[in-house]
Amino acid sequence: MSVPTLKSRLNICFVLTLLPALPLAGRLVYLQTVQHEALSDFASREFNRKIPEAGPRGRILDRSGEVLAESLPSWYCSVLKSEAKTPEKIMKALAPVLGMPVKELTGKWQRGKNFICLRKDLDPETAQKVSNLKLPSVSLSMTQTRSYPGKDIARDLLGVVGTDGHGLSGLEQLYERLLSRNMRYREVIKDGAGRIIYRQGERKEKYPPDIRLTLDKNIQFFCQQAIREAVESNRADMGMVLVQEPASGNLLALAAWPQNLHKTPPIQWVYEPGSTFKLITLAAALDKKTIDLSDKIDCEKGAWALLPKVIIHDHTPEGVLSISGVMERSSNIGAAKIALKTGLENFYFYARAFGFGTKTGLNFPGESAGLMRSIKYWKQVDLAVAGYGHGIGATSLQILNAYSAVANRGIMMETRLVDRITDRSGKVLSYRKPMKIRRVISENTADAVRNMLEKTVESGTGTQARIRSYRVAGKTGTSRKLTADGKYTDTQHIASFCGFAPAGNPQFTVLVVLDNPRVKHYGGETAAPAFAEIAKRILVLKGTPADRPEESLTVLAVTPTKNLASESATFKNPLEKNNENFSTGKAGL
Amino acid sequence: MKKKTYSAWFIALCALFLLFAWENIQATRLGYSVEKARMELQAVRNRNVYLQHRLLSAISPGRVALAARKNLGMVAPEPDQIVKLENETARPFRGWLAKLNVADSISKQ
Repeated sequence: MSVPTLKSRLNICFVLTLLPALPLAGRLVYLQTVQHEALSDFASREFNRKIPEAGPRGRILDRSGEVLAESLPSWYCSVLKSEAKTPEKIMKALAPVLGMPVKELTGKWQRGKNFICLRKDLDPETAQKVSNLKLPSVSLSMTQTRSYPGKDIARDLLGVVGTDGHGLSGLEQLYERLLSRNMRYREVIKDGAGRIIYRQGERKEKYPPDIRLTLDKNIQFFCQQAIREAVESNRADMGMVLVQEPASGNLLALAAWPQNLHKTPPIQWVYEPGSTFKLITLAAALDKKTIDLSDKIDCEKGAWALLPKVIIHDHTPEGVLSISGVMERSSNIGAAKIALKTGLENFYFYARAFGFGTKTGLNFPGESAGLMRSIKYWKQVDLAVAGYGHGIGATSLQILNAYSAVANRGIMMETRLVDRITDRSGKVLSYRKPMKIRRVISENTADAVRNMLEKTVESGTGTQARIRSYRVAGKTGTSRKLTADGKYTDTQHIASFCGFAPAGNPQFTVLVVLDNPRVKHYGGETAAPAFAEIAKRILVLKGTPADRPEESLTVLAVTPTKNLASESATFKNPLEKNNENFSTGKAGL
Repeated sequence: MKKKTYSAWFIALCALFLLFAWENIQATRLGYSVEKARMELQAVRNRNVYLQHRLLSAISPGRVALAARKNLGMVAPEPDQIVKLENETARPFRGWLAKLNVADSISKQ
């Protein structure tokens, strides 16, 4: 009897033991089934974290893929006051690593409320050193800093990026949407101590696209160097250089000195082009056949009364000149007479066709269309003075485009600054090939104007732009500046020179502009030498063969006994009119 | 017989629980290791980016021109002092220039 009693008792105990577990089991079933989704989400929120990571901005590259601007990871070191128990110790430990005096760090500590940023833009090595200190309350956060490996190369064109990573000026602003970094979020699981537990299924990192410009880093560098020297030697207020490939419209360099990171004068600055505009006057007249190359123009011995109170002067008195002579001698009177002969409608039509009064289409922030009034406001006097580049405003880019059109045998190409848009691996995402805008003048007219420009450099006002062994075509320009009350001043000028080389097969067009040169003020004396310097460098860089070989000197052949590595040889070139001294230098650069 | 079956089931269930717990702990440990490795990889990548940046800065035209002028006494040549070897078979860079070119191509990637 006792055995069944014991057994039943044991069963009762077993049931009693299990009984409390039953509601628990029921609750478990309820939580795992009915409440599963809600609880799972809650748990995810507790342990899973989305960590923001600042991705880099897209890079800006030059035409050969050299990096002009890129983003670098950097760190900022911060401290939380509420968590720091021994601030003196922390500051003393951080000072040598951050390269800051303890006093400065203590000052930041005292001024700050709770979160104090001690130092920004730390490189990986310094960040690692800070991390190794394992200081409580000190944290490191990664961010991206915009960096320019070429230092000041095209910096004003590239523009500025703010601390928030947004472009504020230049190309950084223009292509903000394309270049802007993506704030990436990485999902992780963190433990109770805040340590990250890796989570599978991380997406591959995505980078914003890169922009490849048409600029050539080396040519840009030469231009920056040359314009700086020209500005300093002429004590000018400002100078700029633009280089373009006439056949494609590609801009190879845009440089200004002094550099201003918030301004791009080659695109934004408007000035009276002066005599460089005579190219348009001559081209319009020849293309419209209102004049013939055999025509003669009386240049009135240097002063011509267009109206009783309007007297046009030449810088040197000239008598009767040929059409080419007007260009070579840069006669204002001759140009004014040709403009009047061409007629207002024709002149205006050609000026617009060459791109004056309209933007180039670069969409660059602050780009100007120049100043060209509507034709209905023009009078005869306006036409006459516009013939030699006064009374109208142009940007350097417009002048450059006009000369490039002549160099390209009358065809104007679209101005290109961005060549293509690629991904990180170089795969082309977007490419727009060079486009013809229009034929501005006929091939014959372009050739005729080119010959005149060549003569201008050979024997006219632009002789200082000559380059031995190469044919150069170009035109000088000097205009007086306007004062605040709208009157021309005799003391301030804008000197310029625009030309292309080699004249037979133009590879590049260069425009040099100097604002208010104080030593000399004519374009032929100030801008032309800078043009020659830049053109020489580009010819060397491109290895362009000489197109006037009879003038070239075989240096090594005439100085066989000289040790070129140790001393320089100086001699005169009998073929050159100027008999300039020529030094071989020590070695090639 | 029944008791033995129950015991076997109980032991198997316990073993299964233990296996699950062990697997969970191992997954967490591996998670830490993978995260650590990821951080190391990122640090190496960052260092690489910095080194490439330094290389690009070192061979920027301004620095090269300055070094050529000041240290080597070089001057810019006249255009007609340059002889272009048109018929020369295009040869890849050699020596230090090849290394530089490799570094340059990496930086362009």
